[in-house]
Amino acid sequence: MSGNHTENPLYTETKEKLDSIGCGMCLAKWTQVTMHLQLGHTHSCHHPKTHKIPLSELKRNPTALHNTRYKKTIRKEMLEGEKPEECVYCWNVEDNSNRFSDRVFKSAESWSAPHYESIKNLNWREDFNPKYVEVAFSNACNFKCSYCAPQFSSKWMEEIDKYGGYPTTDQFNDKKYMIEEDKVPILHSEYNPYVEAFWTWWPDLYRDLHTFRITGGEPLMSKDTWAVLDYIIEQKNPNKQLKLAINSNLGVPDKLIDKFIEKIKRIEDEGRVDEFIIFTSVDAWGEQAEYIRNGLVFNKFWDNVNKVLTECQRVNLTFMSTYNALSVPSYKKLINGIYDLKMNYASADRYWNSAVFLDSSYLRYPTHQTVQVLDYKWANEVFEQAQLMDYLAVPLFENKYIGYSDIEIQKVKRIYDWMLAEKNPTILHKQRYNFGKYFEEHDKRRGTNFKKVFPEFEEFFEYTKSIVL
Amino acid sequence: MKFIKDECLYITTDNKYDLIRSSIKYLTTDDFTILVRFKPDWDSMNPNDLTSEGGLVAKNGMHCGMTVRRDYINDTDVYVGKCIFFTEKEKGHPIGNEMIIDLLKNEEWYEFSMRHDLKNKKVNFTYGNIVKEIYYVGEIVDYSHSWVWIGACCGFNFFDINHRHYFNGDIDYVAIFQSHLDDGQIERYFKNSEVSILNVNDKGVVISNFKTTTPYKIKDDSGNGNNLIIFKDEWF
Repeated sequence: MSGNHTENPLYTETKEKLDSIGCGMCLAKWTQVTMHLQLGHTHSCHHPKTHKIPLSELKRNPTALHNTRYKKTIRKEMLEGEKPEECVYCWNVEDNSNRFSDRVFKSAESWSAPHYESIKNLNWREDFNPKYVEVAFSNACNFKCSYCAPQFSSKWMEEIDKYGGYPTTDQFNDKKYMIEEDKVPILHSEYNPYVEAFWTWWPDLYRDLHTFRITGGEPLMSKDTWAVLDYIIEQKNPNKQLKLAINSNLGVPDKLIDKFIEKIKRIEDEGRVDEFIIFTSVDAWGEQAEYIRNGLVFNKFWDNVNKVLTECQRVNLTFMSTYNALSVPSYKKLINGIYDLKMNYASADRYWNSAVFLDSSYLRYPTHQTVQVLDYKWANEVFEQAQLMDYLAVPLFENKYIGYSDIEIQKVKRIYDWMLAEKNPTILHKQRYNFGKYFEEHDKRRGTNFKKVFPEFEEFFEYTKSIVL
Repeated sequence: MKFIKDECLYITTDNKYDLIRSSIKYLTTDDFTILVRFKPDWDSMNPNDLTSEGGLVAKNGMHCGMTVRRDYINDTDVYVGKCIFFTEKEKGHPIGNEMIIDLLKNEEWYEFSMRHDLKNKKVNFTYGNIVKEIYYVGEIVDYSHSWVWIGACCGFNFFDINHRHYFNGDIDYVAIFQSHLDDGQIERYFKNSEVSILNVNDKGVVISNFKTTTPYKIKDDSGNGNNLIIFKDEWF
C-alpha cells in the first residue's frame, strides 16, 4: 500500500508532522500492538519481528505486554530523529521510491493520528496504552492448516511432537525453530503469566481502545475470548467506540457456535460496540479446501457461515483467504459462493457496506506452497478468477449495491501479477522439490490423498516427487 | 434484454485492473465484424421525434455502427436498418458513410451484421440475403477513445440528445470479432447463439446472448473481459 507525494494531502501532511519530530518517527510504535500471549512475544506494527516480553518487566508493569523496555528504546530513537533498524521495511520504501511507506499510513489512521500531540510530548520512558490491539491468547486449535505452524496450532504441535519436522530442505515446522526463537507456546491448560498480565491491564486498556481483535489459535477454544465477550456484555458503561473483531475458523462444535452467536446478538442488540466483525478463513472450495485446512469440514463450515449471518443481523464476515498453490483449481467456486452470500445477506443494518468480504492474500511462506511453484499456465486460471470478480463487481462501493469491491478484485489481480514475476530457477527447483516432499509426507501422516483431491495437479505432483537435488 | 427509454449498455476500451485480453479499443483499425440480433418495438418509435432512430451496436462520436429507424414518408411508414461510419481522406475532414436496408415490419427478430475488410477498404452491411457495401477512400476515423454502446449510439448525458439514439425493443445477441467473417460463419454464429461460444480462430472480442447477468452487467462469454455494463449517470 503506497502512494506518491503529490497524491493524498492527508498523507503529505502526516509525513510532514512525523518528520518534524524525526525522519524515523512512526506513531504505530505507541498506538499499535500485536501480542502473542501463548509465546510471550509482542510487536507494534507487523513489519519488525516480534520480541520476547521479559517476565521481570511484566511483574512490575502489566503494560509491558506492549511497553517493553526494548520498545521504549526504539521509541527513543524515533523521538531523537533516528531510524530504528527493525523498521527497515519502511526505510526501503522511502529510500527507493517517492511513495509513502506504512509508517505514514499507520500514523494517519484514526487510531493513531489523534494522539500525535500527546505522543510527541511524551518522555520515551513513559507507558502508552495502545489503541489498536490484536491479541492471541493461546495456540489451542482444532485445525492444522497446511501452511500454519505449532506456535499457532496445538494440533500442529501434537503432530510435530509425534513425527518431528517435515522432510523438506528446511525441515518445515521442526521444533528447533521455536526453541531457537524462544517461541515455544505455553499450553492453554497451563499457567500463563502473559495472560494474567493482560487481565490486570485490561480494564484500563479497554476504556480507550479503538480496535480490538482476537486471534489465535482458534479464539473460540480459548476461555479468555469468552471472558472478553462477557466483560463487554457486563459493562455498565461499555466502550461504544470499540471496533471489535474476532477470528474464528467457524469449525468448532455446534455448542460453541451457538454460544458465540448468543453473545454476538447480545452485544449487537445492546449497541455495546461500534462494530463487530468476524474474520474467518477458507482458501478454496469443498474437498480441496478441506485438504488445505486440515480439520475443516467444508459443508459444516458453510452452514455455520450462513447461520452466523442469518442470526446476527449486523455483523460482517471477512473471509481471509491465504491464496496458495492449492487454491487455484477451485477458487472460482469460492468467488461464486461468496458472491451468493453477498446477495443473500445484504442489509443496510450491517456495520459495513457488504455483508461479507473476500480478502485474498497470497501465501509467501512456506515457499513450497506458494502459487509461484506452479507452471505459468495456471496463471491463466488466476487471471480468469480476477475477471470473474470484475464481472461480479459493484458499480460503486455503497450499501445499496451488491458485489465485489475494488480492493477485493485488486487483491486477486495482484496474485496473478505476483505469479508471473520472474523466478530464480534454482530456488524454484528447490521449492518444487519441497512441495513433493511436504505433501507426500502430509498424506502419510494424515491419511490424506493429494492426487485424489487434486487430480489436476497429479502430473505436477509426480514430477515434484521425482526431483533430485 | 429489453431496452426502454434511455436504457443502454456500454463496453469500455480498457479496464482499470488490466483484465481485458482483447479490447474493442482499436477495433476499427483492422478487419472486424459486428453481429446483433434484435426486435424493435416499432410502435414506440415515433417518426417525428427522437425515438425514431435507435442505436443497436455503435462506437460513439461520429458514430460507427448499426441503427434502426422508423420514418413516415409519403404517407407511408418506412422501416429501415442503417449502418454508418466515418472516414477521412484528409485529417480533420471526416465524411459520413451510410448504408440503408429496407425492413419489413412484420418480422419479429432481425439479424444484422456489419463487416470491415481493411485490405479492400470495404464495409458491408447485411440483413438476411440483402447486402449493401461501401468502398471508402482514406481511413476510418480514429475511434480508439470511443466505447461500444448497445441499445444506443451514446448514453452520456453531456452528449447531444439528438445523437444519442436510444433503442426501444429487445436485443438478445451481440458478437464482435477482430476479423472479417464470411456469410457461412455469420450464419453459424446466429444459429448457435444459444450456446454463446466462439471459434478460437475467429478472433472474437465480445460475445453475449444476454443470459448471464448481474444487476449491473451482462457477461462477455468470449473470455476477454469485455462485459456489457449497464449505463447509469450516477455511477460516473
